[in-house]
Amino acid sequence: MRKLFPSYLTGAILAIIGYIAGSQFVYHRIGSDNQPAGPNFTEQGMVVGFALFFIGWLIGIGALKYPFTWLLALKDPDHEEEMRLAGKDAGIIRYFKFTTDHKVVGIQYLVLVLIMLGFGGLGALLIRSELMRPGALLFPTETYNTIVTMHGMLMILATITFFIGPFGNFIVPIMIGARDMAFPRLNALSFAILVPAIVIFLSIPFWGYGQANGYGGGVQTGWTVYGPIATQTGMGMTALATAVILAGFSSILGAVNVITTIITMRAPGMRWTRMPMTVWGIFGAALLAALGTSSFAVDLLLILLDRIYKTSFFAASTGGNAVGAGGGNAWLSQNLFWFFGHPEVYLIVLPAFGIVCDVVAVFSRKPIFSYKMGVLGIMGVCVVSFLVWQHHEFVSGWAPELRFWYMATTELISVPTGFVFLVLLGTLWRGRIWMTLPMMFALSFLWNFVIGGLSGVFLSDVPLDVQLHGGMFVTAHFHYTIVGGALMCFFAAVAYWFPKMTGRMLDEKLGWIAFWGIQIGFNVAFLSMFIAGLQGMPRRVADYDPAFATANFITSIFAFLLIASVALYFYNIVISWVAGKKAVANPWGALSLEWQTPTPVPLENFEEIPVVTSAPFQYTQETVEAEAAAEPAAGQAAG
Amino acid sequence: MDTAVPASGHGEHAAASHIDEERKVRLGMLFYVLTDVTFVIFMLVAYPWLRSYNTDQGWFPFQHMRLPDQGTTVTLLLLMVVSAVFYFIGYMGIRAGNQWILRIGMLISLVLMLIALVGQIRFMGSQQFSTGDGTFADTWLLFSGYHIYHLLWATFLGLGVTHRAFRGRYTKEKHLGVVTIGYFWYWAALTPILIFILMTALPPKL
Amino acid sequence: MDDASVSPPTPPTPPGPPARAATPASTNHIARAAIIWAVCTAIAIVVFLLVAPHVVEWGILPAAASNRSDEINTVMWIFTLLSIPVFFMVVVFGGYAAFAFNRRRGRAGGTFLPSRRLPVVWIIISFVLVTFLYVYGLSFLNQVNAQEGNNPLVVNVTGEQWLWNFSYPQYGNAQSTALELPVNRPVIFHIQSVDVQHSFWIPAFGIKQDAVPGETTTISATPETIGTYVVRCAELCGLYHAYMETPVYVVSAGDFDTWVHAQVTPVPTSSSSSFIQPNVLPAEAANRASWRTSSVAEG
Ligand SMILES: [Cu+2]
Repeated sequence: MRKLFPSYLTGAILAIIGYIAGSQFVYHRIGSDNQPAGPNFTEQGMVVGFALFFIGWLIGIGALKYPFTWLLALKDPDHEEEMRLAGKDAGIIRYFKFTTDHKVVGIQYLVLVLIMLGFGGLGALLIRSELMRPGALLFPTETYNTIVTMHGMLMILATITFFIGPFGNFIVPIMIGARDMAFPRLNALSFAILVPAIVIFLSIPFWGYGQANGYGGGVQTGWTVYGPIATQTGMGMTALATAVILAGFSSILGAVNVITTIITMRAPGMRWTRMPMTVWGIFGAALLAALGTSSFAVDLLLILLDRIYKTSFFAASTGGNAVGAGGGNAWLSQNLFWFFGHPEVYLIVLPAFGIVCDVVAVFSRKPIFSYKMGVLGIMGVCVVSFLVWQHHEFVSGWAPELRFWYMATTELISVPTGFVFLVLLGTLWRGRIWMTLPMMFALSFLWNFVIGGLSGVFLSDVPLDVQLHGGMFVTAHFHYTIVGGALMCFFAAVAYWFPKMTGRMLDEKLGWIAFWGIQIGFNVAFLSMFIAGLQGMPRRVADYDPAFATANFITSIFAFLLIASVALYFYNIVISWVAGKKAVANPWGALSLEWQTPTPVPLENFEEIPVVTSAPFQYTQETVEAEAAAEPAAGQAAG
Repeated sequence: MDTAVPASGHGEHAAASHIDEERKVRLGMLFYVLTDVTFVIFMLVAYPWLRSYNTDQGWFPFQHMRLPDQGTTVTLLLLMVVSAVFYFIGYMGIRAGNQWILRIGMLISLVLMLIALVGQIRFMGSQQFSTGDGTFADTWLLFSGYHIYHLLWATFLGLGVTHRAFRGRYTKEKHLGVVTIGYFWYWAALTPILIFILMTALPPKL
Repeated sequence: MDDASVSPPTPPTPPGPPARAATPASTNHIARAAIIWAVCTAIAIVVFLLVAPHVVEWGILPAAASNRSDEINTVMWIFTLLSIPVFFMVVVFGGYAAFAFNRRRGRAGGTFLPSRRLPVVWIIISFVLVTFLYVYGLSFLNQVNAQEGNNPLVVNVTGEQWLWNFSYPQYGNAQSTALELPVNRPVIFHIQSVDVQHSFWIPAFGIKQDAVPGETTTISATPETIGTYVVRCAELCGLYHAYMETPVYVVSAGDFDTWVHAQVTPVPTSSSSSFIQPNVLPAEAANRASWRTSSVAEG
């Protein structure tokens, strides 16, 4: 019983007490009578409640112990205390409390991300069910728009986390030969912040749903939460803004930690040019997260102020149904949003670039082809991605005279992206290719991402964007990059590192079935969605013209196949985790550092910090031939 | 191969040997402050933006509206600057190994910070305008509020540093906490200067 | 492979004779893949050229009813034609490698090492392609920005949750909730919004411009084909965004004159309050789109 204090259980209890105390304090001590011009006390109560929910959670799990021992100048924690906090000999309970060991945090992130993807996928299922035929099939538009918003935002939160979180925490420190992250407590904290953020986020549908203000409950805005409509829409917006600000804070803290770890914690001899590409990818993504996220946080903060205190950062006062007091500018919201929003999509994709390069190198049994070009590609995309955001506003009317410049940067970004393709093709060529599950997902990245990238070039061109913007073509395009590119790499990464993270092998047979289901379902569904976009179907509509019926029907049917296959893959993860084949330390014959540690990885990773003497994945002719000679003739058995 | 050859014969097994702990902590704090800097920059963007669009004359709608008192603004700003200067003096003291300069410096800077905090809250509350009185009022209150958030953080950190200084936790060799919290302290003092410059270069009244 | 981790690092060695033995030296994989690539590209281009003239007829692209549409379709054809070889470049070489160098074929690999030339060639080609696309797009960009001269018709468009209002200032502010335009006369739309952002989109004209509260945005086009088209809202604007559609009638100049003069007495436009009652049922909102002949029936 003592083990349960502090743990997530006490955290949850204090969080709930905190929410009730905070909101009731506002309603009873500050006010509850909402006047049109005065503050909105209902939502003020929500925000204060969420804040205390968050603080109660942190106190309950014991995350704030260290700041206060520091403040009171009590005894500084010694090594033994640190080890206890890292979950030494704590058993399974260490996954349910504030634990600083980076491997525990990595697993916690992995589970949370899978849950988020599950909820997001449920949203996708509901959306595609509604859109299967024209007409209002299942939901009122109020529900449909809320589902669209939640699907979008939740998937974004999941995808910006699903490399930096699980793999950035579990794998990167071992990969660079460190004993832990640079700031283990901060690391545990950034996960601890994400949990209440997701809980608050998932409460969105319950806020003000069905309220009679004429604009709907939940959130009617889409994940872009543009200017005045975010002020106008239902109370769910307040929950969304609070949750996403918290998640952004978590992502910033995590990014700072990852950057510092990679800069300062590399093992002797691990020069910048010797890091595996995964580390480069996650490094680039962390830079984007650290520098871009604030922009969205400011946007959401201003939305909250507009909603609660009736400021008017985004709302103009023209006309009859104006939202708010007036004087605001909607383009400010768009720019704040997209200055984060565009680097954000590269934040998702950069680690995918890195991981896919590593996976392809390992399973081609070759060094990465033209390593420097790969690094240049990743870092080039990282830098240029801050200069392209206006292409989301080609038709917004804001600064049309700048379009030629943003068109140039947007098309330019395809050049460093192309470097990554060269690296991949060069690594594959004349390799000794071993078709494992991770390799199959990595190869599917080639196919999917080239379609996503090429359709992006269509959209970067202003005259075409004027036609295609805000339509299903865009939806299909970014699903090709994020699902077809990043999610496939996530699946590859899960399959690749599963033996190291869980000590068991992911079932290849089930994985193989899921893989083909995913590829077929995904490609047919979204190619068909491209057609709907070309036909002129707008995005985020609950209902549509019968002219788009065929394309949508095909999309829906194959989206169901995709969702079912992803569910099968998730089932495979769960079943293999519980009862999979036990894995050896290095089943893939990979050469990077994490595979040289025993499985399960001991608490401080290495008995002795290794000294690195060469670039990653230096497979040679001799080693590969020796391996080939040692194999059974079929060559199919897992190493 | 990414050869992991165990270090042998150099006694290089201790975790700390190849990692510069001080550099790590300083770098981490600098990056954290950098994210705060980006936050402030994006917030400041709202001011010239809304001012230049001045949608429906909503920037400064009531021409009789009184501006925040310049004298108070400058006084609060100077308080912050002096506080940062004393912080720096305290830091120089511990670098020279003098505990008392550190303690006095920290204490004075903390007290000044507290005065600035209380002053800023009273200043914000005493304005004739409130939210919804045009976008200048909104941005001013936003900056003011964020500055208070900065001051709260700085006060919390300052309490810790001062307390620890009086407990003698910092030495000539080991005073990393003073350095890193200094980064935040200086940045908190720099923010109102940036805002002041912005509002002087682009005066509220069009 | 565990022993590999502790063996001293060896620099990558050039291919030795044993590797040659595993793959006959006669097999020129690059040439083979290049031939496959060329064939795939050629087939795809031929198919594309056969399909392209029919896409409007098959409903894959909206009817081309304005001077913008042809430009857009031309750009789209050029981009698609250029994408085909790039797509097959990646897919064919990747796919070929996956099959030909699979370890089940029993060869030991590791022979294709970076040359200096390939990355340089790759960079040059990608820059050339991008520059071409950019310059090509730029030439059309200027046309998008160009204002229409020659006696243009001015239409003031106001987006409102969830409908469009149009007024014709040159015709005594005639008002309408459907858009009627004369054929072959340039039109300038001045677009505003009274509440939240909308986006004024006529797919058949190939124009789209956001309606932003507090600002006026502008876009222009010349309708060239008589017919009935549609204005859609392309920016999620709340509850009934999906139903924010209005017909566009492109008619002859004479018909337009008759129509517009009949509208001159400004019909009291649905003011914000009288338009949609807050608790309107989705079905009622769907009925608003009933001009769409079969949508509601099918739903
Ligand atoms: Cu709309």
